[in-house]
Amino acid sequence: MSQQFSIMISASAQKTQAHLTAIKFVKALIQQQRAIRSIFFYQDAVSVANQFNSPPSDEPQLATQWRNLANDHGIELQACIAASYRRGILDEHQAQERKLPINNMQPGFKMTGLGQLAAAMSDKSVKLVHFK
Amino acid sequence: MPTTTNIIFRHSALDGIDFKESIDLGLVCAAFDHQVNLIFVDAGVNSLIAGQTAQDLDDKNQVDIIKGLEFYDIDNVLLEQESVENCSLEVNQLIDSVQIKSRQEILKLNLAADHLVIL
Repeated sequence: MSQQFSIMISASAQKTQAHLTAIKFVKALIQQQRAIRSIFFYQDAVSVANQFNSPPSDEPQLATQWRNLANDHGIELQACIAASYRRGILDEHQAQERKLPINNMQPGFKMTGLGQLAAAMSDKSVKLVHFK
Repeated sequence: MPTTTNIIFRHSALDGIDFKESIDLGLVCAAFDHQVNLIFVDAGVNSLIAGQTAQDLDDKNQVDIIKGLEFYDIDNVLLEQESVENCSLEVNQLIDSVQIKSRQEILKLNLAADHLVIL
């Protein structure tokens, strides 16, 4: 049973370095050819999935970095649906349901439930690494 | 053998959203048949003082859910004895159905768990 990693990030992208550290950790895992089961954004970490974030161009573009990592290596970026809605990040479906003209979910991220995280944690071969 | 997930609460239930989102995670993990241990340490033990309400905060009483956790197959709500003492709390001030464990016992539980989550 080879070990896999699930990554959980719960800290704000604006207030902490947790995302940057997590991105470096994921890159190191990829470099060492370790399996990554999932990347799950919870609590304030979902803020990175807000498409309206516009950090200055000379600061880290975290959403782009996450998206590139995900695209290049086929990893799903899972944002907790309840945490996202609570913080005003809505996907197309939810925006339509609330009759809002636009949604603000960053392309490349996917709304999922906490069940996705719990399912990954249920797998005994998975090591959960949490960045907060 | 089921996956054991320990969730640590370090802040009061009325101090931000960590309590709600930690409980949410615990409930979902229990639904996935994890053995979930909810462990209250530091200021987190204040969450379990009996008779609290969130009425003045225009919020629902989050602590009420602790009383119904057995229906979600979460039987272990544990408080660290040293934290209870540091917060000058007596056992009779706390809600029923909680267990008090020493720091050493909680350390052992954490070392034995598959996952340890501190939000």
